[in-house]
Amino acid sequence: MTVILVMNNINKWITGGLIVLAGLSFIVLYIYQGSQDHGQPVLVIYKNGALYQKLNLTKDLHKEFNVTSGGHFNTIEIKGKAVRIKEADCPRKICVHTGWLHKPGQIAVCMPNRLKISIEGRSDNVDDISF
Amino acid sequence: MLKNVFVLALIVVLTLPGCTMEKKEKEQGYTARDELLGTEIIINIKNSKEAPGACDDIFERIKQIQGKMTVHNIESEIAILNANAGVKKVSLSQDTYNVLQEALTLSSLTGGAFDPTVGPLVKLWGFDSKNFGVPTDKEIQDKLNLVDYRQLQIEKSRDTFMAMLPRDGQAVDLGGIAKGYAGDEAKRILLSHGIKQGIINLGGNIVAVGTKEGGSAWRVGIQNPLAPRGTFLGILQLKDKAVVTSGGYERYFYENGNRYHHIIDPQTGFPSESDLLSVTIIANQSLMSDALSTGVFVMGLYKGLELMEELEGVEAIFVTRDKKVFITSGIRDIFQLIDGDFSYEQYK
Repeated sequence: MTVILVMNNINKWITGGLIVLAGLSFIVLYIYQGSQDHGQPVLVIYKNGALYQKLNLTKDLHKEFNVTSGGHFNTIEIKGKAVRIKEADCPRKICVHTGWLHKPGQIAVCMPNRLKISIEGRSDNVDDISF
Repeated sequence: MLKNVFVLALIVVLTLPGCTMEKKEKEQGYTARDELLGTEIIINIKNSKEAPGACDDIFERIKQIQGKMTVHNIESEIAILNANAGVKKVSLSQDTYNVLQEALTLSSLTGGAFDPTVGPLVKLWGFDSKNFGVPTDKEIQDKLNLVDYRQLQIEKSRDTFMAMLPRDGQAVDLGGIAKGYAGDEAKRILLSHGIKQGIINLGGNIVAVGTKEGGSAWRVGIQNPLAPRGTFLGILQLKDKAVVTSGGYERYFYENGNRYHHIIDPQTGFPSESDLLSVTIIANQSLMSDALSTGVFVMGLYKGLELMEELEGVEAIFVTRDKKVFITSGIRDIFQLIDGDFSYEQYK
């Protein structure tokens, strides 16, 4: 009798411990995914095809600066979580006409000055975009 | 005891997702990029021993295609063909011959809305250089007379390939098709390296090879033509297809407050003024998607939709100026419109 009772108690402890472990693993998973989903948007600047600068976009970030390359320039303006190329000396100014970027995945490109800016971070689940 | 076993089994099953998550994290992809054909080319495949070599081969091959078909290098086959317009036949590589042949087929299919002999107009508007500007009507009429794909002669005998433009001033421009050909070649090279899954982006032309890991379809966003690049209005789920989108939003310039885009209508000599903002073509071959997206954009909604419904194995998405979206019947189940600014419309 006593042996069976002890066994039952041990089983209870093991079962309880495993339930706690399972619960913990779910919590860790939840936090892990959560941290990815709500990742802060980051402005990424590529110059001449290579990574040039990364900037975390926060609510109260206000900033304007030039990126120069080969004697040419693009002026980048940041207003909170939105970014744009405000001015440039390229001929067609397609990068300027692109306007404000405010969502992850959005890109503005200046082909003549070989500059690309994009907002990276969590975006909707696509593998690529046809444009 | 049985109950305990059951609880244990349940716990094991419940903790499994944690394990698979870690595995996914470790399966990192391999990405390679380069700037060729006037655009950025990005290859995304699974990381493997073969991956770097396959990507190198692809970029090498696209460099080769660029060298043969660009109008920016006076030594390219197309530049030599153009320089000898009205003078003599020139010999071509099989590559260039094949692309010209496909271009002529697609020209006649679109009734000349796609036309590889549009070169003189592209040059006149300055879309091949930085010296863009609105030409006079007289200039446009003069160049328009030179544009006619039916006059481009191509011939092959055994291993020699030739072409000729019969009149002085005529010029071929493969801007609307060379990237497409490069996409098909890129896919062929991946497969020859035993890589059966991946996604290749050639300046917005997407070649989806096979499926994703696990067999599910690739999710390809379709650009919203009124928003910055990277904003999509819907999602296509695709396996083994090539997608190309054309629209007036890609390249353009402003003069006197008017906007002029780069898709020249070979019949009017002006940037196409159809009722469309963009056209997306989904086909097996990237070359076909590329040329048809230009041609169908010029044809406009109704003619374009009719042609797309007629053609076997080709599907399309049309976005009109009044923010309506029309799709061909074959993609109803795999296209999802997600931007509320746009709405579906049926065409009867």
